[in-house]
Amino acid sequence: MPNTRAPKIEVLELKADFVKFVLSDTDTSVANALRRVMIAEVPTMAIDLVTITENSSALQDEFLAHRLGLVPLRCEPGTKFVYNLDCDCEDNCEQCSVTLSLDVSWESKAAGRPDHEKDLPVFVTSSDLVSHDPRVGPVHFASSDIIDASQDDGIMLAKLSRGQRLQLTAVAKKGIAKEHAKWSPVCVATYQFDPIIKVADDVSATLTVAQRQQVVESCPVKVYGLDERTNNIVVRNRLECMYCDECTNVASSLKLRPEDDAVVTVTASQDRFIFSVETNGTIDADQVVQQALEALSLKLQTLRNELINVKQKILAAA
Amino acid sequence: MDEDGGGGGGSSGGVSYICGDCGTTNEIKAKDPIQCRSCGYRIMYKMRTKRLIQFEAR
Amino acid sequence: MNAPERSESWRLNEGEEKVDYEPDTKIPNAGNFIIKKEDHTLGNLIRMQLLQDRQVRFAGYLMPHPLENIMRVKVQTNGEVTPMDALSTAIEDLTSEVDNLTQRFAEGVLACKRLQESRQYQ
Repeated sequence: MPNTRAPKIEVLELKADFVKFVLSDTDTSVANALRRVMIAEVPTMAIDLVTITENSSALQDEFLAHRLGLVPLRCEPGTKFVYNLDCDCEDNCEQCSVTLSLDVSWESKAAGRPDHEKDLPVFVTSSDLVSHDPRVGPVHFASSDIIDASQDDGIMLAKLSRGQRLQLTAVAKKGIAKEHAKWSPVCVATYQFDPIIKVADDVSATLTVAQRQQVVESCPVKVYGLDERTNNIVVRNRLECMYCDECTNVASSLKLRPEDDAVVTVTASQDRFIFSVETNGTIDADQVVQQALEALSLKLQTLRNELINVKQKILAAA
Repeated sequence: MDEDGGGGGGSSGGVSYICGDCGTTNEIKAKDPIQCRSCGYRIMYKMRTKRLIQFEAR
Repeated sequence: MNAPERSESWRLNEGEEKVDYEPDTKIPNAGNFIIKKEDHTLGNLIRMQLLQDRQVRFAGYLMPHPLENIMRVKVQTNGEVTPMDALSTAIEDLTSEVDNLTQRFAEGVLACKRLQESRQYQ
């Protein structure tokens, strides 16, 4: 195999719902394919069918059903489902779907309230959705700290006032975001080109310290700093750079002659990509990347097998 | 479409409606005047079906 | 109302072939691959990989229409290999690259976790 590259990955930051890594020694097309697969082709579970028994809330059935579909459902790592359309069952079964039910009435929730809150509306949130499968359920807060800081206890679905009730069952199915965005596991999946920032010290020496300070301060994300001892411009936070060109513009306006060399140059690396992936809680961030790579590999494998088939067909026809 | 008014009125073939003014349930049969029996108000609302209804969540 | 089913964007229809091959009638050593249910994700990936190949003279891809889930890849080679073989090698190369990446990422995650743990103890 003459044209394989040996890409590298360095993980910079890893949390349950966020991962930042550098992909290097490869082509933009690989980075972009990975990004696209993370966004649209990593399978997750999402509510797809809602059976409403009673809805006396102010919201229409269709509206509520759509809202429920958008609730992210957390899947325990290692949980495997099959696509509903591939499943042997008639309608849906536990191999291809998860049933969730919701039954909230104003009376049931307002019962234990103190007197001064008696007439306030009752909130129906995603935490009222009861999953019939312990491995799958509405996404909740990542940590107890966030729960304490939060005003509410889930994703708001509806508000009920006295006498109103919401009763429904929902069927969650496996799918990918190419079909509907509710199946996307990520909120953010982007890459940026690694910035290459060069400071020409000899040219910068022609500037006064005040002018250098001006270049340093031009950056809105504080990429530069001034060395305390030498008063030279130094790069402090290279990865923060967002290619706004403020520094190069300011630096060129400070030039004595227009033909002078630039003090700072910012270019984008063509083979280093900084990925930021933030999930919506359905799968852990590292799993999103891992599963995206697997999905990409699977796509290539099916294509390879199909090509062999086509080749054989052509040979047979000849 | 088969209009199964949620009110589904009962044996007499009537359909239940809710009065827009006083909120009482009225059973109205064919050719009956559209009017609330208790307050005379003429705007009546159909009741929600008691059937299960399914929606695609997308 | 006339929009196609969304699931058709990634699921092959009953009896549909994933790949069709049409040799080019006008240009020597060239052919079109019609790949169904694929988009820019694989299209650009394959094109760029084909362009790395010295035996490939031309490689391009297009999505003829955004509502049709079809991707066309056009390949012309210098005659030493068939377009079919050039595409096979490209896919072979990409598969090994992606599998390599999967491993690299797993290692990267482990390394990062170890680093985080060692920081905690300090």
